[in-house]
Amino acid sequence: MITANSKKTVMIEAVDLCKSYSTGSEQFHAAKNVNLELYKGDFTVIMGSSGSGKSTLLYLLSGLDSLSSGKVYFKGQQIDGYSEKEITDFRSNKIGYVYQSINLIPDFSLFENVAFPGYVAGRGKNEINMRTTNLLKMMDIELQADRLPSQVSGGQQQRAAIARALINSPEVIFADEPTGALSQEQGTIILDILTEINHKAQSIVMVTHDIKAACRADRLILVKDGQIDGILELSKYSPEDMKARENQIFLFMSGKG
Amino acid sequence: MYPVWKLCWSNLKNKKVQNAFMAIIIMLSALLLSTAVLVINNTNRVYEDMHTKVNGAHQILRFENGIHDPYKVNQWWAQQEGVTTSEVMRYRYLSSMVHEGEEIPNVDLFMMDTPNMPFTVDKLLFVQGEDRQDPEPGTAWIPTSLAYSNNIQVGDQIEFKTDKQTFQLLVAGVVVDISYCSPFATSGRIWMNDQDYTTHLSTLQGNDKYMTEMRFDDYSQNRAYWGNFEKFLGTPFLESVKDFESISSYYMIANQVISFIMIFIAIVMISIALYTLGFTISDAIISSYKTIGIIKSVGLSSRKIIAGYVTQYTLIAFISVVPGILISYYFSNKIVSSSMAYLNTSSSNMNIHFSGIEIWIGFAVITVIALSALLFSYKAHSVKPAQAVRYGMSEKDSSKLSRRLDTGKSKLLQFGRLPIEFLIGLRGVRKNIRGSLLIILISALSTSVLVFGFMFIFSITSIHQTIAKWGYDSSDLSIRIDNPDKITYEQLHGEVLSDNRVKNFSLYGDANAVLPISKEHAADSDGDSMGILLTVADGNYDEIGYENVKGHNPIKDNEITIGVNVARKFNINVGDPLDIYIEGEKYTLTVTGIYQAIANMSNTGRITAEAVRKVNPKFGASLNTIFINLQDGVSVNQFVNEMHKKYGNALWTASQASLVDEVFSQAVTILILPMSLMALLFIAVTFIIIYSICRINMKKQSRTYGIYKSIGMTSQQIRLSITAEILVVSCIGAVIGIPFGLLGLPPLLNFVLMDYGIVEVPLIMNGVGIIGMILLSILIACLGSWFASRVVKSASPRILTVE
Ligand SMILES: Nc1ncnc2c1ncn2[C@@H]1O[C@H](COP(=O)(O)OP(=O)(O)OP(=O)(O)O)[C@@H](O)[C@H]1O
Ligand SMILES: [Mg+2]
Repeated sequence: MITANSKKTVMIEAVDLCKSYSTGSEQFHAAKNVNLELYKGDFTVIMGSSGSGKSTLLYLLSGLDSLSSGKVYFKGQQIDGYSEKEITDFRSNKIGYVYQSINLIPDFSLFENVAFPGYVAGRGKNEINMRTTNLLKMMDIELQADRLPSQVSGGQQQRAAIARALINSPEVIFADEPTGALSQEQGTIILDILTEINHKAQSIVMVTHDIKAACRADRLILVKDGQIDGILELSKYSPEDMKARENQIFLFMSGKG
Repeated sequence: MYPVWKLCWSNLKNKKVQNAFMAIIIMLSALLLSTAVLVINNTNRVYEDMHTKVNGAHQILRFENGIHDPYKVNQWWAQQEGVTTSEVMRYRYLSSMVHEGEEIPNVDLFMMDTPNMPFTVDKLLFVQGEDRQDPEPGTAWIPTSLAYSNNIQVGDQIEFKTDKQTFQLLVAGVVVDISYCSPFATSGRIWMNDQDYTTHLSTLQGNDKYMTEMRFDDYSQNRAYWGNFEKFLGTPFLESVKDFESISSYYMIANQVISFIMIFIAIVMISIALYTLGFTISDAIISSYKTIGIIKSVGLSSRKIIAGYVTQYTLIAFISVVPGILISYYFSNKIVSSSMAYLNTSSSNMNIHFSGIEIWIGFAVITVIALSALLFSYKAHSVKPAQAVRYGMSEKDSSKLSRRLDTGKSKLLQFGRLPIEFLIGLRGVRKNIRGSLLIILISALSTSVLVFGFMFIFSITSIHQTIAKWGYDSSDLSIRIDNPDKITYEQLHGEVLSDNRVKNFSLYGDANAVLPISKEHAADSDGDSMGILLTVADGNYDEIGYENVKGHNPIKDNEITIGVNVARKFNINVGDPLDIYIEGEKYTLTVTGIYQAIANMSNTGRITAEAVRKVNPKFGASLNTIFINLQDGVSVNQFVNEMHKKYGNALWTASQASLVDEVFSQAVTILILPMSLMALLFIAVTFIIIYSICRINMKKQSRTYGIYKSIGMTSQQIRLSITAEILVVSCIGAVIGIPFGLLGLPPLLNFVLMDYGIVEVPLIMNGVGIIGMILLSILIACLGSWFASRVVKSASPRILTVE
């Protein structure tokens, strides 16, 4: 097993991370003592069976949910200790989040949905309009720009949600099954876009069920019952050699049962 | 039946806050409605019980001008079947009294020569002191109204001033004297021993006056008796008559005003409750569209779903109406017992009676709620599961909404034009039209009620400014010569009235007059006459500061102005001629103006002294009061104090301000508490409703708020945007509410007070206060939404987006 690569800088670090949900009288532990480092510029993929705690982990790492115990660091700063101003600044400028359930604002048009975080971050109108237009074009939904989310397909919504996460050029993009609602080709296009962004030094943390999608990653983190079940370094296999990566992942997964 | 209960129960359990609020509003409206009805009913009942118990008078005849023979008149009435009469009682007027060194001004005292007990009509009930045949020499019985309002006890000494001397009497009894102890009354009967009366009063200048009281077995028949009576007299009855309506009205006025306002507010609250209920139900249906779809797909009929809602709200209504009505007993008891305190004896029954009407009120409120629940939940019929999942509403509603969002794409609402908090808030207004309309309605109502309530209370407390519009003079002070032996009018004129600080003055007195009801009005009133009190002024009415609703003050010797109720009863207008008997002599005058006056319920008139002198050249003795206006800048209080020092007992001097306080302080105390309570209730209800609407709305929007948060908006910004939405909407509501409060509600008050002689309640617009009330109602709305949005603060984006 290959452990942390000392040449890379740590971007996000989780220490003894725990999260429990209360279901009536009982507590359900969806993350148990997770210790994890994510590196700057990495394309990290999180895999695991349904209900294993992937989304939970993503929420915790991105500062969108409160921890039960433990610590999360972003570039050495403890984000669970952030003040309201610091955490909002962090959410607005440092990260982009693509929800598993898409979550577009129903009464904003696609264009407005994508542009809105730009305004929250305090960017200028012209800059926002330009960025938004480019992103919509990149996602191939510029024709639907003025429609409401309920008036477009699920895949189009998902692409808008990704565009929204990109608008402020965040350092890390968290994406919870961003290709879940997309067809094979559309999924590939999105993955290509994510890969390209990744090459521009933006870090990506993506949850997926799809081994093909996982092949894009530098590292694969396997989650089981709220714990890290194993980490696979993929960067040593050439990105061109998809077959090799697929085999490795397959072996790794089946080795874990 | 089980699924209905199950559904109803889960609705009750899952929306505790909303259900609790609905219950509170329903309870408050039931409380107000029931209190109002109980107050009106029981005020009447307490009064009528007492009136029956003491064999209360229906009419009181006063013989003050020696026109008719009181004994003959009394004898005639005594012979009539179905009429009980009192003895003929001698009396004299005095207009002031001193208790513990303090003068009690502005009272009309009937100093009675007490006939032998027991009285046949208007029996006296002793609250304090010994119930005897008649007061012992040197003692007197006084009515509760005088005793309570001036804190006089049995054993206290009271002092009276006559033209000749002052004399003291010991209070030996405080009595309920039903015809002369109403709230706001300025007259009272002092019951004296025959011997004291003879020594102190009979010897005064002028003749004794006489009073006799009648009680009818069937008061509605009195017109027929009067027809016969005037045939017997051969003329109309030319002295004064005080009748049941005017005797009882003062017991009713405060409670009628309060009850009217309560009923009005209760109706407003019920309407709000209904609208909120509609909003809540249709919202529940929308937000559980999916659930309803599923429930339907497992085979539960829409009818059962509807039954679930109806059961839920009927239950809530029932649970809230019952305590509302129970609590109303407490409140109405307080109101009735405080306003009826003068009738309270240890044996009298002041407790509020339960009546069938209460059950009807409760029943009506519950029915109205149940029916509206039925009406609003009818929507559940049309739920289509597939549409529910996609849009969270019906396809029709969804396309309506997107059309609205589309056409509503104004430039203003584009990104980048406004701070994002405002922008989101404004877009919220556009999207959530139903909720916004409800908030507009509520803040319009609360603005109008607060503005109007403030204006009313402010006008009553600063009545000095509008005193002329309540029918009083607005001079600076008045002086009355109490002891002409010590100072005559001529002396006063030389020493005081020609003082260069005095700007102008007028002499003033009153006279009794009778208006015969002419042939054309006789049809509905059997040929009758009506006694009115005339104000007679030797001087200038305009200077005294009397005002008219229409026309101008009398100037010439053939002119008269009349109160609105006289004008209405006789159908007289400005310019009409009027036949009137003043102290027995007939005059034909022209009506030059019509005025309103709360005193004597506008059953009065005003003429000049010259008019009376035309027929009765000696007239003048009764003009013993002088209204004075001082030059600008002269201190009224200082002037009054000077007069007190210089003339002591010989002159009675009081500033207008102190007299007004005397009359209206009671009204203020009776009105302010219930009015402020109702304002508070209204504020609470507004807050509650806006809070719960915002909560409903936020539940729907919580996912959006989660997204806002996850892209980096602060919870402060999100809450600001929610509050901005409410701010805009409640400002619109306030703008609509202002004219309604300033112009729409006053006519309702005029309507209530019309019978009391005020057709246009003089309200004072106090800009600062009104703006304050407007801001208050907007503030309440914003606070409601700010508090409702607290959850945004603590919840993480995950919680908001997932739940
Ligand atoms: N609010 C909650 N209350 C209680 N349990 C929860 C809650 N949210 C999630 N869970 C549980 O926590 C566990 C982890 O949930 P999570 O959403 O992280 O799973 P996941 O790995 O993302 O699954 P999937 O692949 O289906 O999205 C699951 O077993 C889920 O049932
Ligand atoms: Mg998940």
